[in-house]
Amino acid sequence: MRFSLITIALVLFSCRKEKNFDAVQVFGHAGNGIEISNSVYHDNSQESVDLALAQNGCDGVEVDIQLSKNGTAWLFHDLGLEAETGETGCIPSKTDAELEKIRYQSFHKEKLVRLDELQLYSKAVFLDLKHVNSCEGETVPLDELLDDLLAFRDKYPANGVRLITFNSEWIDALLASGMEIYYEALNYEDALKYVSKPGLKGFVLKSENITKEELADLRNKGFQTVLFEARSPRGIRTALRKYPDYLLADDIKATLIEKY
Amino acid sequence: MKPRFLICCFFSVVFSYGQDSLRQLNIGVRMNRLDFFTEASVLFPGNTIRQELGLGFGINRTVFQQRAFPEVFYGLRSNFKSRGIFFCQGTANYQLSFFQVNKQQSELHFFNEILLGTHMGIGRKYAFFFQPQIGFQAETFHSDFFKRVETGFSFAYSAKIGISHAF
Repeated sequence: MRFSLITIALVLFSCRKEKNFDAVQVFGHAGNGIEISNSVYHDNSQESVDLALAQNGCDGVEVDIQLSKNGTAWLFHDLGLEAETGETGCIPSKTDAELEKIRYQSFHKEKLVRLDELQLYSKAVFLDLKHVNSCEGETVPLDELLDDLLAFRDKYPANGVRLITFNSEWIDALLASGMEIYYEALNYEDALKYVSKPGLKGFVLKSENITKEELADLRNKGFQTVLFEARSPRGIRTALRKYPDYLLADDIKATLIEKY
Repeated sequence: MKPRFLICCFFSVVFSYGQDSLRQLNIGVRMNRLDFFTEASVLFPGNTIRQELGLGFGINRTVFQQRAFPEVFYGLRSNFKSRGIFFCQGTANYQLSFFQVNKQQSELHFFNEILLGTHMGIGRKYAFFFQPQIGFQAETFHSDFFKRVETGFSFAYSAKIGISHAF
């Protein structure tokens, strides 16, 4: 009898969710999620950002930043325009006037958003900097991009405007600007190469590319961690159990269900 | 425990109701943008247009995320063509589903779908069917942050397969 009761209790408790994910902040990936079937709006649109921030429990958003031919920061994910807008070329090869006319090929035909037009309200943001001009095969000028980034930070001084870069050559210049910088590392070993950078705030990694123990080690070294690419309920659960500081959610509703 | 209890209630109600008064019982699995739904419905007798009432639940949310995701739907069905054991009918459906995202708050996310499509299949008393539909979906919830009701409209699709039993 006692054995049966213990077995039943074990089964019931083993099915319960972990409830201690309060410290993990959920951010919408590219607004309300990217390449997700139940997304209402196109990623990196103001509508997508608004819908993400409206959800009870969403702490902020991550958006992708590219530089136009005029040196203006725009929100856009892909390196080329064609797949999402039907236009040829890239953001760095287009002028602001040309980009103003472009719409996403989506149900709502959302317009492309300039960083200085982005409404953030009182929430936090990660700006993921795309440094490549794939049409010209060159790196975009960081000094022009920095002007817009600093202006945006000054517009939202209390929000927490954080930058993500995949370009290790940009880290020092970005750190010198005084902004919070996160380096997008391929894996734990790649992250370890940059732990000596003074002022670097943390690392952004694909959830599958880092273990719970490796993530804990980065935290012990004083770095924050941001995980992304957790889409299925199981993947989200796995990412949460690594206890990152931030989780960039593609399916915000599914992520909040797992968190709460 | 809650989702399992709801599932048992749902099936017991549908089956007990169907045995003595209904024309056709349908059981199927529907895929849409939100989830895979297990559904059961009854199709009432009628001449040209028949009415259908059904219940379902989202499998991913309810089973794999332990968060109840119930659904109710009402549909209209009219005969297009019936030759031998093959049939093809026009359908119009209204589907309402909802779930609670954040358990620390009481707000629910509601999903309204209006779908048009066809219901085609093979069989007589027992039949296999396939029901593809397209339409619109509205997601509605109250945002504490913006202190207003948020609604997002989008394109919707749905594909359902299942079996039916005529009485």
